[in-house]
Order: sequence, then C-alpha cells, then structure tokens
Amino acid sequence: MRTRLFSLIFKEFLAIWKDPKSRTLILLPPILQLLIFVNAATMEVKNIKLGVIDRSNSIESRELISRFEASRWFKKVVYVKNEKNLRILMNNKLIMAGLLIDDDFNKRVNAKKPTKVQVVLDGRQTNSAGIISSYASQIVSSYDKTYIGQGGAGINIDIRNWFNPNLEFKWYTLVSMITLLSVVTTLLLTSLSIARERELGTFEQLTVSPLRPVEILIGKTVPPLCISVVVTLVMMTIAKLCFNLPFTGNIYLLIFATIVALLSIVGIGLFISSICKTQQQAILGAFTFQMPATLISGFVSPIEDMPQAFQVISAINPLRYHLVIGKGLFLKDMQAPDVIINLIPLMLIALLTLSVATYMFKAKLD
Amino acid sequence: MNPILKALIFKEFKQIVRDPSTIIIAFLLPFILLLIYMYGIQLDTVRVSLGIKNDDNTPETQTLVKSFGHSKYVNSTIYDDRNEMYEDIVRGKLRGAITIPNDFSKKLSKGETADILVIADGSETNLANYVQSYASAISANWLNYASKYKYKVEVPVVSTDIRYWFNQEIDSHHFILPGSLAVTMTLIGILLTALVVAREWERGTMEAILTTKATKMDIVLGKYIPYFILGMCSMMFSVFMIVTVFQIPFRGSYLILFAVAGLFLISSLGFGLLISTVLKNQFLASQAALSVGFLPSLMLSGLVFPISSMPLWIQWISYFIPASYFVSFITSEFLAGTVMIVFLANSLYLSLLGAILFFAVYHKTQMRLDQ
Repeated sequence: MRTRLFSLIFKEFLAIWKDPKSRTLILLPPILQLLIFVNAATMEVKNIKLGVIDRSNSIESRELISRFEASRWFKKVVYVKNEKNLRILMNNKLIMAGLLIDDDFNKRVNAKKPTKVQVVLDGRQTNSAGIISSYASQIVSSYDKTYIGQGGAGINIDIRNWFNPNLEFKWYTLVSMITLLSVVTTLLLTSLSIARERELGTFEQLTVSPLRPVEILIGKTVPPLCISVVVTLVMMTIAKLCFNLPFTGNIYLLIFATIVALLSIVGIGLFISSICKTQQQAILGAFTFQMPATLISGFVSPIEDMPQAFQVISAINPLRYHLVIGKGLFLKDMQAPDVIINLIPLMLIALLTLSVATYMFKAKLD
Repeated sequence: MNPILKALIFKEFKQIVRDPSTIIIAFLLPFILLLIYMYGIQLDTVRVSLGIKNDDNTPETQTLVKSFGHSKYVNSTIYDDRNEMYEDIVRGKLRGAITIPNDFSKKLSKGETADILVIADGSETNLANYVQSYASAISANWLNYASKYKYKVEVPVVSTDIRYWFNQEIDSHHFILPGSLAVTMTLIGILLTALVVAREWERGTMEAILTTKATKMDIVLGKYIPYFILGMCSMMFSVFMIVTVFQIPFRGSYLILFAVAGLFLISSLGFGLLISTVLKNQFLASQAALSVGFLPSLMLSGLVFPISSMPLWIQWISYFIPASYFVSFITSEFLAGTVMIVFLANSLYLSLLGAILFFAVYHKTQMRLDQ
C-alpha cells in the first residue's frame, strides 16, 4: 500500500512538474505579480495636476499656490482664466483638482478677516477625490498657521502607529498579496486535478487501479500542497529580502500555519474538482469561490464594517483567517495561542471539504 | 453568413447552454459580486473601534469623551487601565487607543496647544489613517464648537470650501459598481475564452473541425461571435442591475456605453483566445489568463489604486490592459455623462488593441495538426 501511494504521489508530481511550460507558469506569475502589484498598490495620490484660477493675483495668493506646488502630492499647476475652462479641463481628465482664489483674498488675509478658497475635485474618482481633499485642507491650514500666524488654543494629535510606524502601505499589501496569490495558485493546482482526469478519460484508469479512494485523494492532496507551500515561502523570502518586510513572529509557527492554511484551500479545490465534470466547470467554480472570498476577507474593506449577513458568511471564509495570521506573524508578533485560535477554523474547513471530496469520490467510483 | 460559420456558432452556443457553469459565470457571479460591492465594501466612511483613557478627569474632558461616543464613525470604549487598552490593540479588538493627558484642560485654558496621544494599529495601514483623521476631526470640532475654550481659539483666516464635481454625495459606490464591471467582464472575456480553443485541442475535436471546409476566418469568428454575444448579455444584465436594483445614477447614453463595452469585450476576447490558441492546454491557459487577465485588471486598472500614482514602468504595463481604458470610460459615462474626449480616446485605444489581438489570434490559428 505504501509503494502504491508513493507512486501515485510521484505520478502527480510528474504530471505538474515534467512540462517546462507548466513549471514556469506555476512559479513565475506569482513572483512577478508580487513584484508588480506591491509597487502599484498605494493609497497615496501622487502626481496630481491642479488647475488654478487666481483672481487675487497677489503675493498672498501666490504664496498659497506655491505651497500646493511644493507639496509632494501636486505635480503640475495649470493657470486657467475662468470656471468654464476649468470645467473643460476636468471633464477631459486633464486635471484632477482645481483651486479658486477670489479677488479680495489678499485684502481679507491682511485684515485677518475669514475667507475661503474653493477646491473642486473630480468626483468620478471618488476615492482619490476624498484623499486629495484632505491634502488640500492640510496645505491650507498650515498656510493659515505658519504664514498668517493664526494660533491660540488648539489640539495636536500626537499619533504613533504600532507595528508599522511609518504606515508603509507596502507592508500591508505584501502580506495580503502573498496570501491572495498563494490561494490562487493552490486553487488552480487542485480544482483542475480530478476534473482533468475525468475530462481526459484517465479517471477510469485510476478506478481500475487497486488504489482506495482515500489513497487517491491523498495522492491528489500532497503534491499541490507541497508546491504551493514552496511557492508561498519563496514569495515570503522575496518580501523579506527585496521589500524589507519585517518578520516578528516565530518562523516554525509560520511554516506550520502556512501548511494548515493552504491545506484548507487544497480541500476546497478538491471539493470543487470532485463535483465538476469538466475542467471548465472546475476553473469557473474555483472563481465563483475565489472572487467573493477575496472581497469579503477584510483585504479591501474591514469585516467589522460589513452588514451582519456578510459577517456571518465571512466566519467560514478561509481567506479571512489567512490574513489575520499573516499580518499577525509578520507585523504584530502574534503568539502561538492566538495563531492556533485562528487555525482551528481552517482545520475544520480542511477536514470538512476533504471528507466531502472523498465521499463524492467514493460515490463516483462505485 | 456562410453555413459553416453558422454551424460553428450554433455548436458553440449549444456548448454554452448545456454547461451550467457558463450561466453561473455570466449572470449569477456578477450579481453576487455587485451585491458585495454595494453592501459589503465601504471605501469612504469606515467605522473604527477606538479605546479612550481619560487621565484629565474634568467636566470639560468628559464632554470630549462623549463627543467621541456620539460620532457615527466611531465605536468607542472607555478604559481605566492603559495596559488593557493596549493589549486590545494587539488582539485586534481596537484599531486605535486615545489617551487624554492630565494637563489637557490646563493647557487649553491658557490658550495653548494641548496634546492628545493616539496609538493606531499600523498593521491595518488604511484604517490607521482613518483613526488619525477621525481623532483630529472630532477633537477639533469639540474644541471649536462645544467646549468652553472656544473663545480661546483664533478663528482660521483661510479655510477650504470643497466641492465635488460629478458626484456631490461623494459616494464611492457610484464609482466602484460601474468600475467593477471591468473586472467581472474579464471572467467571460479572458478566462472563459482562454479555455475554449484549448479545450478543442485537448479533446481532439479540433481535428474534426479541421477536416471540414471551415476557413481560418470561420474558426476564429466561430469563437469570437458566440462569446461576444454571451459577454454583451452579461454586461447588459449587470448594467440593468446597477441602475435598477442598486439605484446608481446613470447620466450617460446607453448606446455609447454598450458600444464601448463591445470594444472592450472584443479586446478581452482577443486576449483570451490568443492565450488559448497558443497554449492549447486548459490548465496552462487558465493560469495564464489569471496572470494577464483577472489579477492585473483588478490591481492595475485604476479601480482600486490610482494609475497616476504608480511608478512609470507599471503605468506602461497598465496601457496594455483593456480594463484600464474601460474603468476610465465607464465611471465617467455613469457620473459625468458622455464626455467626447474620454469616449473617443478610450474607444480608439480599445479598437487598436482589439484589432492587433484579432490579427494575432488569426495569425496563430493553426490549420494543420502537425506544426
């Protein structure tokens, strides 16, 4: 029985590994994507083009404009004659923000009478618009304090960010992307495996072999699990070496948690594969799981902020626990008991999906 | 239309209708995703849990603590023990911890600047930014309007008056729901079509097609047309849902919307079919479709992260992704109505990309088994 099982595992490894195209397509994309996406993901809005209507045309107004120009967010300042031209520029997406200064600006500033500058933003890019508005308010309020010298009582927020002192968005993206990419790779490797044998007719050969259903399933579990654990560890090493992602937890705990976490995904993949007849169904099935699971994992938007129904569903979403463990071990020095609490749901998911897959398998074999 | 092409299209349609997975991917999954984007994802107003420890127990600071409790963006809990509060940050129960130091009211009454100490959970990087801005907004609001120190504050001379054009309510759902279609459509446009030619080669049915009188053009169009129709149906269904069920305002023209959607779909189909034609293997094709289709469309299209902030070499990559043109177009069409330059520029790019990919697919389509 031992040799039987080993030769099946060996055969599965070969099926994935012997083809050079398949090798490259499993290893290369996750690593490349990690490098690209981590550099692409930023919540900061930079290189903002600003249109300015300066009706005051005074030292005071030019000082304010130059503060916009000098900040690291705004790149290009375009002077515009009137509101109509400003609207045309914004319509055509040539500027992302506009600044309007009235003609009595300098008089009011010198007399210390309250005045307003208008900032218009392109609401089509809702997210960026919100962020730019806070940049603009910051610049104007610092102008108010340092140039005009308004003071008096005030409150200063003295903020410290634990676990990520400079709020490096890259750290957050790295941990999330590693999780996401390793889940994608694992799902792809497993969801197609049984469906492919069935579509190509090699499934019958398995059924006439002396292997028991459980053995076949183990043979289908071990190779993809090993490959995806290795791919994940490679991505983590890259994150550490190329992006200086700190690692605060215990390395053995991380490896153990990665294996358990990916086992739950292998379970889901094999479950999908066992109920599908063709590879097309399997891959589309994998996506029907993957896309919603990614969106409600807490990666895009916090879970505690979702409606009750989504919170209930996310309790059985393995990606959610992956993210908590990943962030915990890399950034927050999470201790073993807390890691294990988050691993228990993953173990249950693995146990459930793998047993259902075995059952479906048995039913098909008999 | 010649009878062979007609037969090929008919055959493809039968395959689409007989497989429930196509219907799921074209209609059910888009609907589920829209539901999640609408109700599950909040990008502009996020509620955060904050802990508050008041070391300056005066009636005035108590009103400040109350102001935090009244904010609809904050779930506040009052702590007596600082260590307990900090431990709840490590556990992930709190996103931020606020300490009001014991000299707080003394400094304010002297007309000085008083500090509030805030600890934020930086591992949730984005939420940490919210913690900071809520803490400063709530405390500034309290100081200027509710506290007895409001007379000690020198009113700012210059303040900003912010206007949002095209989306006054600044509701991110108006942006994300239409924009998300660019990602959802890659499922049909790239992923599904990446499988269809590879499937014929893997199963050996390509041989059967090659023995007929079908020309190269018949074979290529026989794949483009059915999936184009399926994709357009799915698109119309999603737009219908967005406008009627989710009540997102649409200010543009449906004719122009679907015309550009068609161009977007053609270039996506080109990507999918090219992958499929070159790789001839469903496993490899799906891996490749993921790598050039779904994930880049999600990350590099401008839907989640602004393209203009990305490093230049990544901006160049985004020019080759059809979704980045479509996100730019569809969000503008929904919120601002038809803007000629946005419409024409994006259509031009999409047509160009679609034409190049079509010729590549045509060129790579093999008419012999042994090559």
